[in-house]
Amino acid sequence: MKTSSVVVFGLAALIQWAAPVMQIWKHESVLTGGALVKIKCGAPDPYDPLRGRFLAVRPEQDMVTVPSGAAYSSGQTVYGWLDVGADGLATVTKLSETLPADHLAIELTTSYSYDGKVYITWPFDRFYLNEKIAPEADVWLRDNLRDRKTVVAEVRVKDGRAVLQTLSLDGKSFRDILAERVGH
Amino acid sequence: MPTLAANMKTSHNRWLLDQLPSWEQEGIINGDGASILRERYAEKSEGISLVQLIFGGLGALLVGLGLIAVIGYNWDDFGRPARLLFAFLPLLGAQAFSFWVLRKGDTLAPWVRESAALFQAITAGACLAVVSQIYNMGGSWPEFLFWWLVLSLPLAWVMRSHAVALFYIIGTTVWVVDQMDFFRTHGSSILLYPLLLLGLVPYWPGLRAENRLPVFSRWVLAIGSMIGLCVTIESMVNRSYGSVQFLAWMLLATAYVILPLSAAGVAEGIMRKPQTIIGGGMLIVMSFISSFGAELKFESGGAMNILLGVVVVILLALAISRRRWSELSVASLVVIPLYPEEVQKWFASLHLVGVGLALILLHLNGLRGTPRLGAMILAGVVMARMGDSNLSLLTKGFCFIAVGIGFLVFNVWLSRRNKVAA
Repeated sequence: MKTSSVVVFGLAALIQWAAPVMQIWKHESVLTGGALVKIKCGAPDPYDPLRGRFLAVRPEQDMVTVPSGAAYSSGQTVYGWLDVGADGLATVTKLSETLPADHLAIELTTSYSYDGKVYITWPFDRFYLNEKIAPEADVWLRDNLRDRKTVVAEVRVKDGRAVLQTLSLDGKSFRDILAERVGH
Repeated sequence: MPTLAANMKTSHNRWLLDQLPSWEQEGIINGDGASILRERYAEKSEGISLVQLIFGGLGALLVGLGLIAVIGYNWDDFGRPARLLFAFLPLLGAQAFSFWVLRKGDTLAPWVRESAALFQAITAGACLAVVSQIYNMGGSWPEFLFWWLVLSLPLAWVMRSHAVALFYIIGTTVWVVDQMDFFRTHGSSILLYPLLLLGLVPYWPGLRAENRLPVFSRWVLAIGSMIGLCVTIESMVNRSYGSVQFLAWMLLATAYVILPLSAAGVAEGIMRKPQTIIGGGMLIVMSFISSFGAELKFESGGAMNILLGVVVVILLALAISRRRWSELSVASLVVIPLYPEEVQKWFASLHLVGVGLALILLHLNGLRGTPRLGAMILAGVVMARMGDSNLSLLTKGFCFIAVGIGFLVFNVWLSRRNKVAA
């Protein structure tokens, strides 16, 4: 076995570990040390064939009003300043191009801007579910949206990075509610 | 002579070796002569056969996909650490197996090496998938596919895995087609595609013989890369210029036709050089399109055209030094966009006639030519001009019949001439 083959194989193996480990490290640091924010959203149910069954998570807020004269191009990375309302739910009240040093903010991507409003894309868009309970989510969501109940995304935020921890309703985790429904 | 033996197809070698026992019996050759022939034309394995590739790869693929499905079940009952362990254990196992296969070297059958490499590629993807599932990470499947391909690429080199190379080619083609977005106004990741293609440099035609892909894989590489590069060109053009893509496509097709090959590569049959067929086919088709009056405009602007032009000039010089006259004849069609718009239609037709005649005359003069292709081009030009002329249907009919008969007569004459020459 040639030395060069060993070296290349070793590097390849290392990179195959390094890529997921880096993702784990970034997300773990947010999950363990990030501030918890609750964001109002709704969710239908698609399917990612490569990575499993998930619920599409779409925060209700899709737009931020900006001061006149502020210019943002499509696809630009910005930071949304998060403020918590009386109902305990967080909304983005302001955008900035840099991470604020003394205010909780989340990294967002701009879609387009029009008439003093900037439309945003959130950094999380899915919540993975066990295949067994995922179909039940369809039914449950239809019922709850009809009854105008609020689905809340619980997100950990740290240094602008966000990790979706769970979806909940009235303080109860989505997984627990659905698991009860299917008798899991 | 060794060169001739090296250039003979494996099937010809096998036929010759099969005949030797009966020739010895009949006294056509003696024992010494038979031994010399057996040694010289010993059956060389081309490496892994397509069947071995399919079966070895299929096994690894099924195991890997099963793994993804099992993991994709999303084990809610286990905590994060346990699920992360599930993610990494298969990858660790696959890497250990691959290392063992590498240590064993050529003592193992090629399909074992292919299976190990493909299994490792799949478990690398599965690991990424599980991690993104555990942390509810977003992103689109093409983005996931991109990183999966990048992580798999080194296995195509170090494990000399054709299966992983095929996965990489098909995956990058799917990825780049997805990236094509006419409306994208911000920076486009599609420009990464040429870099991704560079990842398969060891497998490019004309380079190291030990890396030569089987014929099927060569076709996949040629078709996949052509689609990917055309998509890349198309995406760039839609953001800047208008009709410049014709020239860019013709330059790209020319590069494919005259891609540098070793002497052994040049001597191979045309079906083993799919890049030549695809590039030549594109040039001929676009030339015929031009001969119908669709003007292939020449745009002097565009860094892309300049870059492609420089590459083509370098490749032309190499082709001339290797006396690849047949390929150069077809490659000459790249100048058609330079003809003045008013006369481009007729000049394109004349140029095609010239190319057809050249391909025939090269063969008749004992050089490597493709006379049947030349005859087809000539017949095509005649029929195209008859087709868009104002001649009566009767006249056109007689012309087509004459062309058909001429084509058949030429074919018979050529076959007889080749038999006599052999």
